[in-house]
Amino acid sequence: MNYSRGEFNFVLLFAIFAGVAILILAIYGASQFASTGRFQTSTLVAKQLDILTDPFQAGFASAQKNEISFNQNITIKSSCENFTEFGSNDLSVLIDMDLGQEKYGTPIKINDKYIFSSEYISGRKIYSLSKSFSFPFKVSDYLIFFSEEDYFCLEDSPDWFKQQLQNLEIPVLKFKECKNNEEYTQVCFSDSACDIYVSGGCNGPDCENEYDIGAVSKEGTILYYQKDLLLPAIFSNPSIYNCNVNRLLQKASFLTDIYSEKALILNQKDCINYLQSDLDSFKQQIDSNADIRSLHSIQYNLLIKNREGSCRVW
Amino acid sequence: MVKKAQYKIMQMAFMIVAVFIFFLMVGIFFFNFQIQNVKESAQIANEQKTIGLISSIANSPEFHCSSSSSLCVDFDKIKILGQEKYYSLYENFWPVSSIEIRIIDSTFNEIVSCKNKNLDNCNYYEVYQENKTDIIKYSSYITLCEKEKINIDKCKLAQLIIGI
Repeated sequence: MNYSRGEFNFVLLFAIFAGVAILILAIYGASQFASTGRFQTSTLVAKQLDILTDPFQAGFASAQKNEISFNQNITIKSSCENFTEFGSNDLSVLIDMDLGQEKYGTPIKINDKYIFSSEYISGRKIYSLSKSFSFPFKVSDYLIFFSEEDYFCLEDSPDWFKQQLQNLEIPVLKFKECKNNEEYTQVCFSDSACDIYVSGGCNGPDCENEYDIGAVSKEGTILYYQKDLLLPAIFSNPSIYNCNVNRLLQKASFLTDIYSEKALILNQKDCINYLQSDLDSFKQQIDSNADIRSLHSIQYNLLIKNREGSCRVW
Repeated sequence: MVKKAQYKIMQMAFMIVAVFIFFLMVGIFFFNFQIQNVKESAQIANEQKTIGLISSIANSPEFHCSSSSSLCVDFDKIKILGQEKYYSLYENFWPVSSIEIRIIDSTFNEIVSCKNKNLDNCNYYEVYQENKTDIIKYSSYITLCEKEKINIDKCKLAQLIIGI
């Protein structure tokens, strides 16, 4: 074929431009496709985390430890909201594929679980510790997530505290030869200069231990706790802790209604108990956003009254 | 010469349009495939969750009886939870579409609902039901207990049926 100079240039240029445009579109399409795939996988992993943690609830055990392993490095972004009745924990996952893109999957809302953790948990393994929160009846099980990269030194903690964790063998919790090691977050019960300082404040007949109620100082904030919430106060991000405690208390308030009605049903069956009015005033106290430490005595009295009644309400 | 060039441009344009349509079709095919995969994954994830949920709902404080035995449901609590105020309160809490209890009792030949009826003469209690038609149900056997008198608990075998 013979081309004049102008005709050849025009057709060739047109073909080059069209070819380049198609190539760019194809590359863009492929990268978008891969990105959508990653986004989908991240969202799926977050949903699977929700499902996987269902059997992790402590149930009737005093505490339970589990671990979740991933094939790749992942980062979980954890947050909490308590604007609705039960609130929720939101988990979104970023799968590290070394592609330089930081796009978390869609956050999965989990409103039937209480997950305490730091804001970001990363690594190939996540350790979870599950315990029950009773106030005075069982309110719910909660989970504490540990990143395999965050180590805690509990050398300076009392024996009763060490014992409840040592048997669980969580690799990121060290109980000896870690004091003053900067790689560890130092948890102390006696030295207020540590990263996390626990101070007990329980000294009445309703206390089994000085640390049944108290405060945990960390990251410039003070977190108040009640017995079952000591571990979350130590290992959780402060805002996630406060939000989840509010959620747990909200659920305790709803359960108080149920138990108050059950107390009435039992009374009608000649199972006399005098808990209904006490439960109603306990609910009022919870709903008035009272400090969790100030609720300790009233919940302890309810516990004793229920034990001593002819029929237990819970 | 000009006509020949125009013809060539048209030929090229048609070719580009054909290639574009081809890629578009391939794109739509992959998109549909991807959507189908997402739907299947979501369905599988929901099923897995529901199977795990049966025991966690039965053992939750809202359902569980005072004893320490697993899969024991308190019938007194069920009656309380069946009330309208709890129905709407817990609507968004349980990640399921329905929660039902069916008492295993050979004296009943058909389902007799306990709602608004004599609670001693029924074998089915609906705790929660969403307005959905395509609900897939899973069940597990439980012990359904209620306090009869001081120191006497009346227990029956029942099925806890969860729908998604």
